[in-house]
Amino acid sequence: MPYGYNGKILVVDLTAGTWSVDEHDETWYRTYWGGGALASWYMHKFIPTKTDPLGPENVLIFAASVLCGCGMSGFNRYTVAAMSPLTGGFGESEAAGYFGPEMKHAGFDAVVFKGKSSKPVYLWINKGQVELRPAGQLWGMENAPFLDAVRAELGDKKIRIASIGPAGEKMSRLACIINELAHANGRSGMGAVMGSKNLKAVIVRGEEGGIELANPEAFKELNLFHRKRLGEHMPNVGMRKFGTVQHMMAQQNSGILPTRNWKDCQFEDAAKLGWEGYEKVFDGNHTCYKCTVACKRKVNNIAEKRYGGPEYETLAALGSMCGVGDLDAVCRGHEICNAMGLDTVGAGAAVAFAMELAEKGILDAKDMGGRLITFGDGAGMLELLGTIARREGLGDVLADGVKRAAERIGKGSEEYAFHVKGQEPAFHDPRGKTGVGLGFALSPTGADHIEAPHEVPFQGEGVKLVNPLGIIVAPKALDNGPGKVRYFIAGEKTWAMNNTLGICNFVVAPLFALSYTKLCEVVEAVTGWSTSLHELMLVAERSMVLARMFNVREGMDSTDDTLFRRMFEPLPEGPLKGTTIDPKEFKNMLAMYYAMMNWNEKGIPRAGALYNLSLESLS
Amino acid sequence: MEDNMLIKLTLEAILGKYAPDNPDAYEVPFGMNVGALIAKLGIPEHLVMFVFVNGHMATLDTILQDNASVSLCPYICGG
Repeated sequence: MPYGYNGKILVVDLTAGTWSVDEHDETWYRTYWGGGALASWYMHKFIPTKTDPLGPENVLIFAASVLCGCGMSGFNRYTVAAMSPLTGGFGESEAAGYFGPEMKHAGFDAVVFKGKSSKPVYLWINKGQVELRPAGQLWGMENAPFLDAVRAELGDKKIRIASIGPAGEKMSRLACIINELAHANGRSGMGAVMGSKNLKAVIVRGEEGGIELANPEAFKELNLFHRKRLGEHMPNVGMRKFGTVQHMMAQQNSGILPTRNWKDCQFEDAAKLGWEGYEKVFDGNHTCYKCTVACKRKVNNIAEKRYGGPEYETLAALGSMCGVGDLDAVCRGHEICNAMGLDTVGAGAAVAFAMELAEKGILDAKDMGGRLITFGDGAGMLELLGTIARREGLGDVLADGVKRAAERIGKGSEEYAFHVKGQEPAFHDPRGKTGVGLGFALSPTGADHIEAPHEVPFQGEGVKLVNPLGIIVAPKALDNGPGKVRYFIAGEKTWAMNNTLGICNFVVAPLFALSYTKLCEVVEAVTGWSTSLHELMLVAERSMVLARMFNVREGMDSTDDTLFRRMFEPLPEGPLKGTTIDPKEFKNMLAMYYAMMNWNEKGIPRAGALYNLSLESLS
Repeated sequence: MEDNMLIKLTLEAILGKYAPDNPDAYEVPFGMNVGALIAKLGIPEHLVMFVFVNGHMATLDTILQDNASVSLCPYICGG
């Protein structure tokens, strides 16, 4: 019998209103494990090439992992994947919270949605029993009223809900999926895909007692060890005290805080958004399933407190990127995004883009609904978020992301539309840490900042943290040589491993408490599989190559691996003033990456790379 | 002073601006722990990600010894 996982994957045909259960053997599970790798297997199998991401032929997958829900702090993440409506390629987004573990406890390791329902529905999985229920009366609701309504309808307060808001229903390509109101599958427009299928929510209720473990005694000991370490390991202590709000002043002090649509890199009001300002509205910690890190924040300055407080990316998206230093407005903007189901990163980038167009005279007051909205206008930022979610006026244009918005607006607006492969980047400036540039360019989902641990903490003695990955010499933040690429690949595999195994980056090495040695022990205690870092790195690389090969079959290659204009211009101010990325050196880094990965000059994995990863079916 | 000892400090990257005049021989009280050292240097705790003492990752409660080598790394990464 399987340990750690159910051995069952639910496949729902929304067009027909029917479902079936896929059962795979242990070899399959030990090949794909979960997350994006498991989802990729279904994407390659079921999604026709060049299909419309918002059409019925796209397939939407909610994928947990063999470890998700085991009860260890941070082992609670799940992936939602589909063809991305932003890029037309591989789309995925991970979230923590409570949904993934509950889906596992409800009897399924993943749920695969095919087709499109003729009417709004939600899927209800109650301890292995499956039902598609009408959601017409619930369509149009924001996420909090929806959660309350279905709890009342199903008569169970312990259900866990992943839902879309009005933005997803209207297929904004910036729409996200929210679980328990404060945990988002934010990137890749997965909320739009869900909306396109008339699927309002997936609701799960599991058996008490969780999942069967291979070695419960060993697991108990490891869990106690892990909890103790989390309570004293400095990065975890800091994460508990300050959450990701810490990033704000770190970026500002380093001279790389994305500000006013990447035009500036220093924000005069950063301190108001950083911990010193944030502490005044801080209303306690919030956490995910059985996690003692509790990095998430609650704030006291919003009406519906269950939506939680903004994390760093949102503080930058709605704050510095829009030139808004009013923390109350930023918290309110975060509340709007979670209520309406908008990705704060993409939506903030779209608002900042519109503000710059207004400054450049490309958009006028009439275009913006009556008044010009420029950088620093907090009320205007909130107004634009609402119009994006409702697809009203200019919001209807911005709702498709900055790439498509620029194509519709014209007038040279593409000069200010910053994206990679169609997805807006989150708020880390590669000019101050070139590894992040590699991540933006190479991420299969379009610009993404969590491809690899950013290199800055591994200076000096910090390099010891990455020694177990074979990185002996610290990569300097601005290096462009083979050492940086080697580091990036090692780091990329560790985070791909986390995404595949459903582990939060904030609990495991290289930066956080759980060492790789202990992680291998946890895998064995949960699944019974004796493993090694070597196997886990292969699993990680397999997930990366599966995603890459999905993009290859959609026609993407090295020409799509690039950065946006401002990254090749000098930082205008601050401690790194004048620093830029040399386009030739950057291309050279990409060429080194392809060579080290055994991909050809066009960035396509060679047959040998595929064979090595047991992916010969894709060769 | 008898109650004091000397430690060697390294402040990485943006923490460099908090370096005292004499980082190679910085005087601190006997029995001081890492948390108190961060406060003494005037560094807001949220700016420090981790600290190494004599080559080993420390906790805020780690007690410093005479001639300890202490390296502080700033909080900046992704996510």
